[in-house]
Amino acid sequence: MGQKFNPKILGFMCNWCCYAAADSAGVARYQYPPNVRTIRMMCTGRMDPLFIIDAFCVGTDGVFVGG
Amino acid sequence: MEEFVRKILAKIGIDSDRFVLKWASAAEGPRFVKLITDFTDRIKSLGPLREPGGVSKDDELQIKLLAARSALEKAKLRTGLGNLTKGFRKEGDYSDQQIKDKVNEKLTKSIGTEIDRNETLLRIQKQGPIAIDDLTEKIGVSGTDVEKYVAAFRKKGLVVKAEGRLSATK
Repeated sequence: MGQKFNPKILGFMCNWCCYAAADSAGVARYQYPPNVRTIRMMCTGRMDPLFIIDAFCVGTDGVFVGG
Repeated sequence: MEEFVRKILAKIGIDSDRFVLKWASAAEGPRFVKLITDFTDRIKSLGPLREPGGVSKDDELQIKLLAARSALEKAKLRTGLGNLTKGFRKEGDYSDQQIKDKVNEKLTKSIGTEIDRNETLLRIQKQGPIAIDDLTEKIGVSGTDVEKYVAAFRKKGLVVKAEGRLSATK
């Protein structure tokens, strides 16, 4: 195979903080790795340990929670 | 919550570095880029979580994950975590060390037993009929613990024993 490992990362991001930061990083044309699949949530206070276990259940390699 | 999740991941054999909780304000684009880059590099160095081919229903990791999932759905661990946070509020101490100590002191044990208990039932349901020795070996805890869980399940009528092997009812 010899394929490069491209990790699947799931990102839970707060609408008001990290998601906005991601947005501003995009607008300012900063380069960052495209491995993160983002789920926008209204507040990271909604985070539940179950979400993280679920994420690993469906085959992600890592979970990033950004508040 | 971060420490709590790390404990669970460690218990089911996932490197707890695969999960991270970080803060970046809306004005901190460059910080966000750094966080994401670092985390991606970290996952890259850890390698894939599963074999190529992805999720299969019967692999060992999936059973452990499902066990953790059903343990987390139930009230015991959730109230445990809730009560712990109440304690932090009362004492006004939210330092990392304090959180680590308290989670260790109050929750580590119940995380262990709850996940083992759910794994026992899950394995009987999926892999039964199964002998109790095989069950103990696969779960990797002491036989007396497994026997205790099984006895409780039999009492509730969830599990039956026939010819020395356990299977789930229904």
